[in-house]
Amino acid sequence: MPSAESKNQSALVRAASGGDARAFEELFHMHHVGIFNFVLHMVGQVEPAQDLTQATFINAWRALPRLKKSEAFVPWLFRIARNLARDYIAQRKEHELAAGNIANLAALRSDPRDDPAQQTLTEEQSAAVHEAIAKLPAHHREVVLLHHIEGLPVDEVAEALGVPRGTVLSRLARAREALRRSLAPLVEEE
Amino acid sequence: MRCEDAQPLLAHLAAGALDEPLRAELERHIRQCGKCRREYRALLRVGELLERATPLAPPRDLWPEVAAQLTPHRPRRAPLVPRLALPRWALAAALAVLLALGGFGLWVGHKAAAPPIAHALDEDAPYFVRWNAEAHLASAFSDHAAWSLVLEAVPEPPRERQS
Repeated sequence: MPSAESKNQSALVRAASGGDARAFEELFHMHHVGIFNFVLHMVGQVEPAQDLTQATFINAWRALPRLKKSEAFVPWLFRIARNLARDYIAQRKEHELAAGNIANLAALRSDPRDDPAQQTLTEEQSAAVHEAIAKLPAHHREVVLLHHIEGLPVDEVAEALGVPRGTVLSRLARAREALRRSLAPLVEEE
Repeated sequence: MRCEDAQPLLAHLAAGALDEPLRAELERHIRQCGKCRREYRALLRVGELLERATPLAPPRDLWPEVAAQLTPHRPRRAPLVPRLALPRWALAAALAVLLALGGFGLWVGHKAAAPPIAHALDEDAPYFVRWNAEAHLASAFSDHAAWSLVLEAVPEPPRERQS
């Protein structure tokens, strides 16, 4: 059964699809940090990531009337972001920059999680996690960001990336192995 | 299960990527093996770290520039043929019935109205045969005896035909 939050989101998507800019603004505030994180980890630079985040929402607004299922909004939105980021990387030939370091990462403030009960990491731990994610190969980075950071279910990650569910699970396992090595000081028992 | 078989599968178990019965077998091994248990816990902790990591916020407010570009959606052009509010199966069934009725109609029509040329040939055949025999009898080079036999054999057409 869909949650109240997803019902509310579906209602917002339908309203925005009908031209309601206020509903779209709510959707923007619900998802722009997630989209920014996703494209930031793909392109590795803050300024282009911000521009790509904006372009994602502008493209989404234009294409919304053609979105058939309002429940598919989130994976669809990430798919737009991914395509834009890939085009950007192909044009700029800067994909090497994305793998390994995010410029000005330290200058970025963290966006607190919605759930106050969730115990968050310190700034240093969080930065270490983001740096470890940035070092992953692109196809592993995508699944980690969408599933673990954005909280998309495996099926929605598969939809966003256009790959089978089994591929997503396998990439998540491989990425976890790599992160376990790079985050060893944070995950090993004393 | 031995440790060297279990170790490569631990990340898959932590990611929820293993199906039964392999999962149960691996879990049984983890319960018995301290080394694999420690490794599995470390892998689970990776997931916890990822879920507790705070996302990075964009430094500037991105909404105003997005809002400035939100042009009203173009109204959809009305379709030339109004769409029927029927499910696809109903449309398919209606089309099948129409095709069946059309086919039946054609068949009945074909039976009821046989080609007029066929009727004409049926009715006029004796007339043509007699006309042909009479024409040959008029010729000096024909076999008059043979054509006379034909005229005797073929009945005379109805009177109105001759006029």
